[in-house]
Amino acid sequence: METGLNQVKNPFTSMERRGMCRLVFLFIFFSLAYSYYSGTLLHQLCFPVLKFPYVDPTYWAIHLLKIPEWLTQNFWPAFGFDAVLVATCLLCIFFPDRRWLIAVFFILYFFYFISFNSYSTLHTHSKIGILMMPVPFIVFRNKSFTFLWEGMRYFTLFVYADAFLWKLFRNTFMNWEQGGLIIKANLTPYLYFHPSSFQTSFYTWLLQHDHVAGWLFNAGMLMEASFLIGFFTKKFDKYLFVFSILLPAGFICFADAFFFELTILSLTLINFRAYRGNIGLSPR
Amino acid sequence: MKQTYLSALYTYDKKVFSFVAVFATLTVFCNLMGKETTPFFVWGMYSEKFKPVKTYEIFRITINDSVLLDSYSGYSDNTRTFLNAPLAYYREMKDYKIDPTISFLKNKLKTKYAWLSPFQKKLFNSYNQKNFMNWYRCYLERVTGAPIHAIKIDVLRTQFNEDQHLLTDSSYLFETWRQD
Repeated sequence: METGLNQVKNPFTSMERRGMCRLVFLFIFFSLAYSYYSGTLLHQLCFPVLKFPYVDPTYWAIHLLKIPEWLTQNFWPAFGFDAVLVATCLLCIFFPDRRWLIAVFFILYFFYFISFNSYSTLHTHSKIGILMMPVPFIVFRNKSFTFLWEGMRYFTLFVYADAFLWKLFRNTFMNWEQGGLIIKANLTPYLYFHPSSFQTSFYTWLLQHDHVAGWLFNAGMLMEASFLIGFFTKKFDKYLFVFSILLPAGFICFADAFFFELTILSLTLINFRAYRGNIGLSPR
Repeated sequence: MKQTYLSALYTYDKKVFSFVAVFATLTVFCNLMGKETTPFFVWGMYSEKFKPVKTYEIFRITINDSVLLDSYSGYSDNTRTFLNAPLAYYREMKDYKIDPTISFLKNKLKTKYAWLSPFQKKLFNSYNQKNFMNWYRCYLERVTGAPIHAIKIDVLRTQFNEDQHLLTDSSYLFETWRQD
């Protein structure tokens, strides 16, 4: 962890912070637009009847307060909530200095996150990046922001390093069938509905050569392992950035899991200081 | 000596340091326990060992007695999640007439589950065929953009042959809904 002094001596400037905030919220706006297109904003859910707090105490607390129920069981509160959620996101792009707007967005998105995961009956991790990324922008001082942005970088490293460690300690890498079995478990409906597509031919070939699927799975695991290096040096961040895009691309190809929202975390691996003087991020 | 991120943060601002340190510690703790508590997430992505199974089951949804729903054509991943995951959960509820989370907790907590009983209604679901199918019809209408007067859901049992081609083994009618 050699980067400690860098935050103290060289914090982001207000201009840089504004540019980064706009970039983050632009990404979030696309994520919300995707939710609208998907019919998964709260007012589009048709008053869902099955909830899934599972065994997560935070979900339990929010459901005991009946917040998701109130937000989804009546059209106008749901519509109003979605409208304010999208509006605050847009306002954060136009007014990145209004920290209270960012705080309001964070709270609203938290309730959206819980409601989405509970009523989809699937606690997906893809939206976690969107939930976490606004946090550094809430603090007042640029130095604090710089430290928290750096903290988000460590969070990004942790996400993938943790995924590697889980596979390591569960010996998953020894299971050479894992790649093929993930394809079967997640893509069987696709293979059924599209028996003669190019993708189906490719998946069938992979299943016939399951050692290739196994190698691909282990290659992904090695990519995840490489994020451990990021805890000690920033030298390889550009490669980690590429891996942080490739891994979600792998999830969609081989597990039918669309994790594009998680790639917002990849922004923390970009050296924004290198662009000083460019793209409107002028030096202090 | 090089200053680390945490030591620099501690020197700079103890409040921000405490926030980061508590978040990091609880995240590591939840990972060690294997228990996710939002926002302390566990990133076990596909680390659980998948075991070979003989059959893979698929929902085949027929709308208005004629249109087969293919959620892989023109529907986003989010939409597909809402079309499939609640249906799969409902199926488990229908099979066992109880919310699967309640069964899981009863097995895990044994007699201690009694502590949760007062909250059961607020936290978990009770099986109600009419409510679920009415919701499913409404959501299907929204995402397909077509009025729906009938839904038929079959469960197909499929398996992979030696050449890894998918074959349908058998099927059964799981659920139907028709407008009164």
